[in-house]
Amino acid sequence: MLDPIIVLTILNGLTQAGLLFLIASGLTLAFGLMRVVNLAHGAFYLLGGFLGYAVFRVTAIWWLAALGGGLGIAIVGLFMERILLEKIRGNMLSETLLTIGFSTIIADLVLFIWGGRPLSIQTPDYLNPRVRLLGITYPGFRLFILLLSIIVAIALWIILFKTQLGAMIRAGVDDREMVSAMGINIRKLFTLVFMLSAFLAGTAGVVGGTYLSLQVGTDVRYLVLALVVVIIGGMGSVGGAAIGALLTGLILSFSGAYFPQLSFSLTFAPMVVILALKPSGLLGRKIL
Amino acid sequence: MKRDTLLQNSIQYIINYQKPGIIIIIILAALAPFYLSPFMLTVAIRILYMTILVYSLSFLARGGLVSLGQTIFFGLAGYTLAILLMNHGYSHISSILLGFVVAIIGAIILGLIVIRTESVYFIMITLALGQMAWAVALQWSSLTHGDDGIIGIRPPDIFGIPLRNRVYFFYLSLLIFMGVIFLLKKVYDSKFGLALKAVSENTDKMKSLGYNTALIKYVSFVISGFLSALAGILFVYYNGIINPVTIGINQAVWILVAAILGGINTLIGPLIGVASVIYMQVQISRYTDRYMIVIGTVFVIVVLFMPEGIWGYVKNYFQHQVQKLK
Repeated sequence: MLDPIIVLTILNGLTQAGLLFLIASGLTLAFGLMRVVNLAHGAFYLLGGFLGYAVFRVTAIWWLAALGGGLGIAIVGLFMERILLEKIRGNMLSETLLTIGFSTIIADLVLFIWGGRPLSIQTPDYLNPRVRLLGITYPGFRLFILLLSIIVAIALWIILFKTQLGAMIRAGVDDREMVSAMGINIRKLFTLVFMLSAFLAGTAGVVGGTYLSLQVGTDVRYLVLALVVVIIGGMGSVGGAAIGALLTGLILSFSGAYFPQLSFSLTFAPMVVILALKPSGLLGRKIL
Repeated sequence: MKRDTLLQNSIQYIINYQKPGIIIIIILAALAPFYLSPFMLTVAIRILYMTILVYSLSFLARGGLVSLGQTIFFGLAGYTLAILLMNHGYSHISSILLGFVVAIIGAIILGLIVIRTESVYFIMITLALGQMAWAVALQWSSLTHGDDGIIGIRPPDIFGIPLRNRVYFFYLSLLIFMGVIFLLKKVYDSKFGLALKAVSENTDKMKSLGYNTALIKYVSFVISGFLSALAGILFVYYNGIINPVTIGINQAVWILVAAILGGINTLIGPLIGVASVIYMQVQISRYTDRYMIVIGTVFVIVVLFMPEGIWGYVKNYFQHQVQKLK
């Protein structure tokens, strides 16, 4: 018989990993194709969560909230990609700086509209049954997060490896110039991937806002965690993001349970080790 | 025609002969306590130490490395100083020295990790490490007093001059600031400074010319850590406090915004950047606390349309005017 505390810690770690994967997969996807590190990704998560909160207040339908948060942020992403990033395309540093500026604006805007108090979205009962598992009772919504992240992972895998769109994206990651020389509209591809990435962040915000809470500051926490995840896994690799998320989620959960004084700092340990040994990350290609 | 020549000459004069201008600025700065209100004097002190902190970023950025982790060394020095002084009864001199030592050792160790990366990877990793430092400051509360931080630090008297007095603190800061500018100017014009600039422009070429580009970047990382530590010590003495917020992400972004606004390629740029961000803060916060929306928007506009910052833009504009008149 397993110790219930260990079971609980493992399950919590997996839940955290699921949420981290939802956030980090979008970040790494956009980076792989566009070479943009979107440092507004955490702000996307936060704003998505608050948009979902607003939708939930009006409709009281959780699925609509998740969809609303995702679509709202996808539109923000469209605006950012088409109007702003397009102007300085190719200058990696300026693009990154731009996303920092955008992140600052969004965080302050959220503070202006919703204030600084933590808010959370009510968990619908049908998504939150009490589940008996390995000798403990576990909230069903956390298992739902895990399930959702697995579904998203499979969907991303199918899109990337089984569709023509995915073939174009993978080709674009390998050789951008060649792909556009072959007559594929790489501009459209960029916009599409960036919107997908933003959609994932926005939806993750609603999921995270239901599981935990939303507050200005959460954006930075999850941006940094997502960065840690993709640095561990290798920038641009969705599979790497899954491994990184698993590792980071479990460390978060175990250090929170056993070393609460160092919980957040310990999360960075694998990143530092991996950077020292293999700067491109576990599954990453050569660093530019 | 005659008026044009006059205008052209005067613009040319301003561009070519910076020395008189610098002397006038120094005199104006030295007289600041006589014409500034007490509030504006505190703003001036803040501008001075924040500009030193921004130099620590712009110095690195000369080598092509943009950092979101400069607050690490600011915090290492500031916390060491505050903890030794307040909790262990060390003297001012040894607390300050140990503050620098700890920060520089930190830069030497972290430098080994971060120097393996460049460009956006460097930004991400310094951001992550900066957050790690913030988390340690927040969570290791037996040492750092957690959220509250360490308070009540007061500057000492030097040769009977009480630095607690704002006017004297201003002069001390101004002196240190001018020292920093002088040293940076020397470094920028030195062989090392030129090599650093060349590395940012073309690493591969420098490598093939036989330069140890990694070492050049590493040394500049440690120097920038020292500058950041210097700003941290001034900050702690002036504000009497160090807490996690002062080394948090907002501070790191603030430094970056100020650097980019002013322009990182000149020594005057960061000063202009810091002064304009603080000016905007002071002005806007009269009406609302949400000044970061405005500053963020200005930042985005500068990134999009003025790649060399405000000062670079102004300089180019004047040079363009001169050419047109010719």
